[in-house]
Amino acid sequence: MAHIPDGVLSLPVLVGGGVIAVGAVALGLKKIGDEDIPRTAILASGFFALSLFALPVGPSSIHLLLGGLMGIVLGTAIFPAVCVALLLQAVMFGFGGLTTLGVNIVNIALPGAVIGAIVAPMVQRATPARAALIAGIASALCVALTGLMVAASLALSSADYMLSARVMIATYLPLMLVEGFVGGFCISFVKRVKPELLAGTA
Amino acid sequence: MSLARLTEAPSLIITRLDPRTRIISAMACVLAAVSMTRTTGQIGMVLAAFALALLAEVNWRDMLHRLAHVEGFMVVLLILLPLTMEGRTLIAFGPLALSEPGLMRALAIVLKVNAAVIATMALLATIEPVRLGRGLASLGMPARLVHILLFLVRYQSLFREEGARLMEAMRARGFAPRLDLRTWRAYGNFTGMLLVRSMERAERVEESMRCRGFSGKFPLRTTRALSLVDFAFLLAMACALAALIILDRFA
Repeated sequence: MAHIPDGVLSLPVLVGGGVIAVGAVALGLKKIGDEDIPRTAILASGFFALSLFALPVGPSSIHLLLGGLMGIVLGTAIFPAVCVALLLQAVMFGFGGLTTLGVNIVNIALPGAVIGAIVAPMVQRATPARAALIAGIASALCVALTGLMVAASLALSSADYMLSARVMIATYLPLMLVEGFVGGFCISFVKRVKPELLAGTA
Repeated sequence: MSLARLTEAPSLIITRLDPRTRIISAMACVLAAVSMTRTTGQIGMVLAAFALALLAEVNWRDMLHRLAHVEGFMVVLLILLPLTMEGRTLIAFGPLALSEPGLMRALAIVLKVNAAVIATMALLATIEPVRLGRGLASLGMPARLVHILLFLVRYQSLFREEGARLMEAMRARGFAPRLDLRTWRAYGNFTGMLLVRSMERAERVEESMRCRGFSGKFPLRTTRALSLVDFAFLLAMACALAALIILDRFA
């Protein structure tokens, strides 16, 4: 749902998203050490694979956005990771688009990067239970922010999209709930099994 | 190892093209599709994209699947635009009135989006990911980003298989998804487990790469000159798109 296809958004929104995305991806790449590329890239592959699993929820199914978890684990490397993932999805599966790549990167990765930067130190220090709570709230918040940003991308493109943008926000509510719980339980598991994953060196 | 089902028949012109040619053409097609301003141009662009798809002999079932997916994103937009945009009413069902500008707008979106999806699929879907990476590198994408792309291509399929095995193991132990906390805990553990395994895999790969002297770079740029076929294709593409844009603006 967060993958806006080509042909919907207006030029200023596309250019704006593209410029921010280029800056953010460059920043993320700069912060990865040359020797850390394999590690970052393989972790990013894990997230990519996870995002492709359809989890049945009630009569429907959802795909996780994973913004919050990626922000906590990858830090600013979330930008290159999401950039490459969305590019592959657009080319191979037709999810999202080529001109909307920048906007989609910003919508998915920016909330994760910002919230991840805030909560990652807390998650590292906390007990598994507290870390789960923090990560759960962070994950849900990231979904909400992505939803708001997708809606804003539409609303800024054309005043006629206003109502659709509002309806679209509502569709993010179930995902917010599920992703909050899954993100929380995930961090609780990682905290108990392999806390180094959260050590901030990834 | 590849993401899409590859149908790289060497006889097809599309698969004989240099990856750079395919990337540039796809980008040009999408930009042209997005910038069409009138229905004639938009329909022309859909037809052109369709012709490319015929040329590329795409898998039509995959194509329908893709189109259904994008239509899913737009469904809210397509339903609400005709109902909410101001203008002359075309059709009315009781209190619901479909306005003409709203319908035209919805039609424009459908045509543009589908043209872009069809063109992208025709030109890029069958490209081998490794060649895509090389092509992007020689078009100026930063080497680090290309490295991440190549790793992603390789390891995402591995982790998808790993994830599928984990899911199967869960089901074998009686897991059935429901709408409750226990289900989400199971999904949380599943997510965590896959991340832990990616981390462990990452450590092993990193160590073995260091053993072999990896210092952050692979040889990437094996750039060869574009062939005559590439130039011919690019020229034909440029002419076709220019004709469509002229049709859109001035016809």
